[in-house]
Amino acid sequence: MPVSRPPSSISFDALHDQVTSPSERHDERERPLLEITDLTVEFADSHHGTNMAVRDVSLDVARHETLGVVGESGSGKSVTMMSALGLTRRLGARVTGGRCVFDGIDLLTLSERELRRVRGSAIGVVFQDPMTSLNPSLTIGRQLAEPLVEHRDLSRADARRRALELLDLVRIPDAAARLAGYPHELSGGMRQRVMIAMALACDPALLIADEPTTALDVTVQAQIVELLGELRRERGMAVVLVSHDLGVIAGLADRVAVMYGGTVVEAGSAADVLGRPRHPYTLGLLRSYPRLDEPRADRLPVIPGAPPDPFARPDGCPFAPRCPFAHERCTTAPPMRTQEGSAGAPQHFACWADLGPRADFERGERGA
Amino acid sequence: MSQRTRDADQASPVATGEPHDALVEVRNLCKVYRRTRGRGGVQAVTDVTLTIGRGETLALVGESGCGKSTLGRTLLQLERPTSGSVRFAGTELTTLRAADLRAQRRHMQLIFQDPHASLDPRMTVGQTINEPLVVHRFGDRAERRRRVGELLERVGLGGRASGRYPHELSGGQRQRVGIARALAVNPQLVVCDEPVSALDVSIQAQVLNLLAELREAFGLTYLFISHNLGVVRHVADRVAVMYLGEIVELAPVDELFRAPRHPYTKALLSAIPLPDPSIERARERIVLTGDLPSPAAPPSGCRFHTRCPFAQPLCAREHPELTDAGDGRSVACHLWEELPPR
Repeated sequence: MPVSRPPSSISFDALHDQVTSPSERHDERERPLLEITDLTVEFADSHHGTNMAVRDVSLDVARHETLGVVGESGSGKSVTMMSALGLTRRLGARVTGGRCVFDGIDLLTLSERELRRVRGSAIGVVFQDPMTSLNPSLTIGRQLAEPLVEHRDLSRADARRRALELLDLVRIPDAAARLAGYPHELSGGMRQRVMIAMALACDPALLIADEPTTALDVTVQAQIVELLGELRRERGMAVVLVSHDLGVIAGLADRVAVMYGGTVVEAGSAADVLGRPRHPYTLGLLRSYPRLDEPRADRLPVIPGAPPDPFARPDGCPFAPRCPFAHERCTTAPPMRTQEGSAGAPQHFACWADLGPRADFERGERGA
Repeated sequence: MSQRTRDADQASPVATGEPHDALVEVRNLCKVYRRTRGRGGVQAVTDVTLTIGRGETLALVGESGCGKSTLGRTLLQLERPTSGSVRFAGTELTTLRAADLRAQRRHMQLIFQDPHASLDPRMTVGQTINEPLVVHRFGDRAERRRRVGELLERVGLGGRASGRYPHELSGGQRQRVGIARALAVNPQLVVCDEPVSALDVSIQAQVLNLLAELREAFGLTYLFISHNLGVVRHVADRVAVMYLGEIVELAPVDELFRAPRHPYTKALLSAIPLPDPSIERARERIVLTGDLPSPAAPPSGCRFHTRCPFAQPLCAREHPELTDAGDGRSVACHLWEELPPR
């Protein structure tokens, strides 16, 4: 069912006018929609000292583009995105450097109140576990209508109508009956659809989805991936998809950033990064993904060792202790940053080794 | 139980392609969780018949709520079945008294999904692995200490890990402790319940390879429970696919992945994403509509018919039995011979 596009983000535009001068808004078209530059985030822990969760991370996503951010637990992928939205402030995180410019405004300079306006309207957020993000004691309809009343000044009746449209939009059958229901009456997949509907309520220019399918079964995951793909096309949103699953990323992302140990180790077009990885970690991750389209082996390829302790990150490359290509300088000096490919879709990687197209991860051999 | 008759079930020739030297024989196993009041209940496991050969890895796959974990726990008699039989190395377990069952337990161990929740945070790694040795009266103190050291080496942790506590270990290391604890008393059968689901991809492969090594070294038999078909493909000899408490397909691993017969197996396989954008963008999936029906009120006829893209009127009326489909496989579907290959 087609949903009429409401006038473009009212509340955010108002905010926008307050913070940016007309001259600054001039070259908006060329700039990415969200541009994170050299973001560094620290967590203070009374036992262990300071934990640098994210170090000098730069990411950007253009309008209408889908960026996949992939990494394992502790890689900093969620912390990066949540810090950009100011959602880690209450968790004791401290942003010690960098900028997160969204549509011309540095989100890091906004107050909590201003940020809340941005999050509810211009940026939609979907989290991994819909049950902890939905209020169990409020009806689905009430929870969907809330942000519309809050951010859009809709009347209760209009908000309810819009809530119904939103449930249709995310293909929830029997939407009218669902409005009166409670979150516990829904399956995991349906709850995640409600979460997506809530994130889309104010027609955001950017949707940030943090592990949106991780808690779901594989057949339901396929449904949600399909839904996100359709919504993105229909509405022309930019999407940042944070996931540990290379398969989910491959299905949706135009560009991919691979994170490890709090840094971005490789970024580029999905075809380049997943098809011709230049960083040993990306290569190892792809090799250890159990694929159905490759011959069955007695032993799976393995990345030896374990991810770095966030409280004791090494000086050089964070991946060096596990890397079969590592040399001495990898443990002492920060990895060399290289950019290759066309200016339109460059591939970045942070590594001293030049892997070549046929690198063998297990043997640590570079391919010619 | 359902309207089906016991006799018909027992007569159905399910046993094709089954291993000759059976370690575990499960026949018509049912587990119903009764309601505390009112009638009826949840049929978590319905009429499951399967055999696990000595030294074999049988994988049990399905989505959450399909009954795969309940089947594993019922098989081990951690929960007593409602009806049916489980024979372990020739001994009927379902009628054993608690004391005799305890003696059998030595031969059957369990590895859990979440190594964090299944380890006692106040016990050191050494104490954790020592515990089953004490329970099953293994040797004297010195022998037990030696055995703990051996096991820690064997699972790749090293003897020094003995004095550490679970919170000092990574997820992969904790799962290695869980594996060492399961192997401590030299079991024959190990039920691995989602052993790598809580681990990162790069660590998953390490633990899977360790399980494969241990199987070869000790001649272990695994019942490997997982929702992840990609993982299962690398560890299993045969695969049983469960849907709403029933086995819908059982086949040798290569056969199952090469040519899945049951529509649910086809859908499961097609839902697994590959890390390859060119394939993922072009791919036509069998996307199942709807959600898993409640096991408290399973659909009539074939339980999968409400979500099956190929369902016919017959499927809503008649329950398909698990029957021989050649090549050592069994399928429970009225239509499997007429379906497209993928």
